[in-house]
Amino acid sequence: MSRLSRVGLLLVSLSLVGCTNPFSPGASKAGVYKGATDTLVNNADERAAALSERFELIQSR
Amino acid sequence: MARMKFLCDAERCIECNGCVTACKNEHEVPWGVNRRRVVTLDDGAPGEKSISVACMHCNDAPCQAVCPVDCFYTTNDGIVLHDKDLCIGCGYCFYACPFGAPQYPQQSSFGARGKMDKCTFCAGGPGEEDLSDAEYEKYGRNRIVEGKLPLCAEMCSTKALIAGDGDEVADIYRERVLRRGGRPQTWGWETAYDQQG
Repeated sequence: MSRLSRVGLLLVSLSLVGCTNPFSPGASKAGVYKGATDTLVNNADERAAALSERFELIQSR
Repeated sequence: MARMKFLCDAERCIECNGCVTACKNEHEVPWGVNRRRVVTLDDGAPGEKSISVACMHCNDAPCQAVCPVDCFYTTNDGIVLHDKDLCIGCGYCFYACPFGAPQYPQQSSFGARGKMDKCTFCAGGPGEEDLSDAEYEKYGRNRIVEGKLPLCAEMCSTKALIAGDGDEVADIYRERVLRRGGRPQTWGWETAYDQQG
């Protein structure tokens, strides 16, 4: 294979790279949170007692 | 598990706007945005009623349902929060919310509203380290991590505004109702159910 053909093959390959994006409509599930994680989401039990105590304090004033 | 809720007792609210001021000051909310506001009906007439309104952190939040970029999420204790990095400021949540909670910082031409801002139940937001300056700048103070409840409710002088676990809030309100004679006396009750006096 000549050098020119190799360069041509390389250029064609590079130009087709963008066409290999595996995106499909099913890749994104509707109605499901897609943002960054928040540490508050799953540790409600850990802070429930503290918040309940605070609630009592506020309401008893 | 606790389910965090706000309740405003219209019989106790004196329209002092202390909750509004406390919220704006605590979170340094910009001009034009009110995460909380006091609404008064029949203002100036005998029997006027005031109620403090903000995001009610709905169980099945309509804002969450209509968001085209799915930037809303609910914590395990029922606080509805959103990711400002995802928000595109489309305004759908504003139209869906029955309380007018979503607010936008810009009122420029061409519909550029900016990122939506709303009450966070003083729980900050996602993507930034808890209690960091970045979180404060984007979402306001994170009092929940500090073991505190929303400031608006904590400083309410007449205890009209209550924030906490829905069951505990309901117990307090039920006790108040019984003390008042067993009638709900919730604003609009007579109008809704056509009862006199």
